[in-house]
Amino acid sequence: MKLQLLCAGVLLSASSILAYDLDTKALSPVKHGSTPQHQNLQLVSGKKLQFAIVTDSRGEQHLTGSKARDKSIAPAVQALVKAFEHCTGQTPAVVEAEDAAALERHAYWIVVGDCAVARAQGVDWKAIPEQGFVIKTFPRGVLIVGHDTTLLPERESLSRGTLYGVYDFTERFLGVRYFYPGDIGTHWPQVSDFVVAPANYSDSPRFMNREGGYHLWLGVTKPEDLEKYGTLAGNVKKGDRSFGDPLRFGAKYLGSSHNPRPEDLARAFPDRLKTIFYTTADGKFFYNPKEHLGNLYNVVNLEFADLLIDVWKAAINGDEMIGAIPRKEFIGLGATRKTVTFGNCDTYQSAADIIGDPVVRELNLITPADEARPPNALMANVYARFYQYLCSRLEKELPGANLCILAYYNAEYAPVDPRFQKLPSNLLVNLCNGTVPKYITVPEYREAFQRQVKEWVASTGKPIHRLWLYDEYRNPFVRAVIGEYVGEVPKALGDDLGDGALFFDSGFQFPYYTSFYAAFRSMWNPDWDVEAGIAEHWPLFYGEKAGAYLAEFHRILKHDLMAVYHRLASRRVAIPSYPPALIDRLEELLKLAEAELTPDSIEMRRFRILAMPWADNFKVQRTCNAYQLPVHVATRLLPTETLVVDGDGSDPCWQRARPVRFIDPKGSGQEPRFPVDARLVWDDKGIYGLFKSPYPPVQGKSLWFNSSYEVFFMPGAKAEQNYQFAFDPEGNKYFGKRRYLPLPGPTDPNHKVPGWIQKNTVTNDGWTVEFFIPYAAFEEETPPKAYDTWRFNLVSNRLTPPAEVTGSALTLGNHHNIDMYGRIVFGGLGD
Amino acid sequence: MIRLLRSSVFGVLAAWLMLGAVLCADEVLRPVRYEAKLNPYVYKPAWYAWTRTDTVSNQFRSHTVTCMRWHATPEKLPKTEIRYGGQTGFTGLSPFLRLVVNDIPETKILLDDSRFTSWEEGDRRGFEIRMNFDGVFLRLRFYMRPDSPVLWAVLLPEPTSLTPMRRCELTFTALPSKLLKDQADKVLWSGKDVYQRSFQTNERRLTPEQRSTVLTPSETQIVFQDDINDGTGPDRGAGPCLLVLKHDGVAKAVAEPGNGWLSRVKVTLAPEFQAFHFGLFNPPVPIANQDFQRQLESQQPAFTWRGSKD
Repeated sequence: MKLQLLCAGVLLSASSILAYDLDTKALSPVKHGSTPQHQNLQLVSGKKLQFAIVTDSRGEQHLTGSKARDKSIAPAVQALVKAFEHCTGQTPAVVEAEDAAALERHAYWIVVGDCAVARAQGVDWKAIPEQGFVIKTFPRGVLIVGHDTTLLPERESLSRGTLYGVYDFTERFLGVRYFYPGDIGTHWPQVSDFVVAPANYSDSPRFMNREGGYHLWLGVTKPEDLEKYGTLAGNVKKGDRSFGDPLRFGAKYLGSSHNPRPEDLARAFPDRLKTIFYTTADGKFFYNPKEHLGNLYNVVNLEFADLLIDVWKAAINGDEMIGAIPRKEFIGLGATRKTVTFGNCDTYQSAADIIGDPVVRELNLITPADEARPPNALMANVYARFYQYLCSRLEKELPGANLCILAYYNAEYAPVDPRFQKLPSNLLVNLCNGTVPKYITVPEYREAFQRQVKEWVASTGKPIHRLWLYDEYRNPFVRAVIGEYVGEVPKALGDDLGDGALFFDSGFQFPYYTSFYAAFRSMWNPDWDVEAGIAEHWPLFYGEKAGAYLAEFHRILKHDLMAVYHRLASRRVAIPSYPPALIDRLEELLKLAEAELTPDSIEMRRFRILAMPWADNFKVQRTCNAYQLPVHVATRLLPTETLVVDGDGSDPCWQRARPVRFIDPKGSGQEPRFPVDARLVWDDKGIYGLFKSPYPPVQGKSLWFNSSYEVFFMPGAKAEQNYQFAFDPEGNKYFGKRRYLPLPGPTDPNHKVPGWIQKNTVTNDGWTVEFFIPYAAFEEETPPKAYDTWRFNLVSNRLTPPAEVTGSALTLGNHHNIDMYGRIVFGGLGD
Repeated sequence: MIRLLRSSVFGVLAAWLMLGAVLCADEVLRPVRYEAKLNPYVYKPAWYAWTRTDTVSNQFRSHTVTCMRWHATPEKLPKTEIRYGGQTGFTGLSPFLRLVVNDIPETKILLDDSRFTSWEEGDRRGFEIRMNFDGVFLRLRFYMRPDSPVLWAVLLPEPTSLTPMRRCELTFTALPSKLLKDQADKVLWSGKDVYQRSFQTNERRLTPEQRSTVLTPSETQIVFQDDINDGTGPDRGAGPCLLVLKHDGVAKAVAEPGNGWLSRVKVTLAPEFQAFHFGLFNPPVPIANQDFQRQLESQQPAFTWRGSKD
């Protein structure tokens, strides 16, 4: 252990002696080189700085304007200055390396970045691994030098090793800890004496891309977040991504997502929509001009691949126009000389929409063996054929370029069919498996994931390039700790995972800062001891007593509650009902912690940030625990009554029908602000509904962006299938169904409902809709008899600002959460 | 889940013992009382959407009928149950009365508090439940007379029904005398050596071996009893209980003794029935089978149905 104690001969104040451990488990492990031989370096003595920061600012001078934000050495110097200012109250001098006279005015130097001094000590930045750094002492000071491609006039990728090295130095030697943006999100130890013993270590990241900029931005942009948290945190600038530096964000490789964007391709090639977007055998055209969602690329047609090649060539060559639109209007195209990216649209293609395709049939692209695989593997051969062609064209047209594909939804699985199994060598995979990192420690999921990855490795002959990791957005108890599981993912995959990226799709939120911190620390080095790293910070941030309570709070979240969550993994329960005793204990621990804190202290402000959402989180849990499945009644139409579906709801039977009770489906327990009057009537032909909302709905967009209703029925005592009927004031509809028993199947988004009737009346005062669902919509299900009970859920999507989603069941953010569905009883005559 | 409403055990016992004496002595009988409670204390209240107890009592006996609506759960449908108090006899352990109208059981119908009303006529007092079986409207009335410890009841069809009644079947279920457990404290649900359920009517005895027997119209008093646990001692159970039937409107009544923990009498009503009268009685204290028979004979008027104008 390289615990450095003070030399006996130096007079020091015992209360501020800074002892550090280069191998502290709270930080990433580093690689030690041979230890230099020289005296300890007294960099700070009696609060007086004995050193200057030495740098050569000329190296990055060419980076001006918007390129200046790419610098490494300059911000590294600023970060070091800031650290010493906070820790010692003194501002270190910054001296140019070429200024020999200035250098000599200081006993010691902390050399930041490549310069003559560093080179004289034998440190060559180019020899350091990409994005890595070296920290090495010498008799006159400390060298912090990283691999900085910012020093190059032209670079292939951005590497800011020195910047990372400085942050590492401040953490490892000074004991600074950077957790979240703002004045109080960093722990600055107070230092009056600082002695550095001889040291020599280096580090570099496991993953070349650690992409957090957008997600950090999400957490520091919304006015409500800035007001709630930014005010407490102090000095949080709106949209400021600079905290990504201490978290060591970085990117070597091109990103990969759903690109090109369908809307850009459609605008660029309006006369080739049929080439770009898929048409089913029965004529359904998957092009949605209104929104990003609802499109499907035509991967069956190789002419679409040809079009993509043309687009990429135009982009790489810097053509002014791509098709009918300027190149600059393509957002996130993802095309460089080294890499082009292709991702399917963010829309799921159902089996019914591809199985009957003539090309698929002719080439036998979907075999019984494919149907026996997981649902997302059904189109593996279809995509493989497309990639094979695309890659062969790429090789000819853009030699040296790799194609990075998004293995997502229907493209998630590698082909195993011998005809397509071997994918080209210029293909890279960005795999999107929705079960990681949340289920990475659940054995059956871990093993399934490992198998899936091995299939890709076998197919491409190389490791997976990137992984897309998902958060559990709806469950704050998981959100608070999910980032701590990121490091398990590369451990599970070993050499099957390359160095591309772990893209953690989780927006930063101040109260769950430890999760975000842990994720990015783990991306840098998955062997970092996440438990030690998080455990260390509680007393630092909150004091010993409050810190102890919060450490237990965290332990319950990470261990006890995650155990409950993982036990339900086989059913993919996003929000379990946690044991009430644990919820009570969490609440108690927060109170105990708060009682130990001095009002208006920094610790209290930090506590307020951390504690802010938990009252509501506990409330949702208590609502869940108290939840009883609601029972609604559909009134039976009397033989003497008539019901005309005309959209005005004036038939007398509606007066007898009982309104459905709406709640906040997310469990706040609050009554809806914008009530809806929804009633159901039935007879031997089908089910009628009358829904009235007393406010004008949002219209003019597609279904999911207009105000709408969604009605779910699971007929019969066995409740084997869930039928979804979604509709809006303009008559846009979505009918879907999904089987759960006897074996679960994928959702069919193209369910047909012959005989559906919907009539709307929309005025400035509101929207009234009457509809009729014939029993034929439920296929082989027997029509209900009096007092039969079906599962039922009704959702009102009010999008008129302020938007409000209400429902008849506590589905906790997932309208398909069938375990929480209420029941609809088909009332008898006269009920 | 079910509680007997009792003023005090001693008081009931004393009244029971004094029943004959009071009736014979022509004393002034105190009026029947009725009380309803919505969502009273029940065992495991979290199981129910709502519960209701209706208690009818006089100086001799107190009867509580509990109606509950079970919550829907992921595994079970919501259901309605009507139960009667008691550890044995017409017991709270199993619904004492099942009513199936046009193949619709009472467990499925929609019942809520609004369908219960108090009732009184002359010196009789009690309550009614309005039931709807998909358009067949029925009233089930429970009441007491000041001179009888029996809980009397009548099922009445409503002329305003929307649907003709094709079939109506009632099943009276009782746990005669005792529920047995083995040495491991597990319930014994059946067994010839365990239960010898028999019926003693005012005309004959129906043995356990007779699986089911059609009752004659003159068999109006049906005593549910057990021949092993005959109530003759502290470990011989609580003794018998009584069902009084008036066969007007009855198409068929079948008694099912046997060797199970429960015994049943199934009554099928004629579709055109005008009123079906019955009565239920659990003795308040353990009593031997023979002693109960003597009680029925000596206090016959108290255990005989009487019209309101009689």
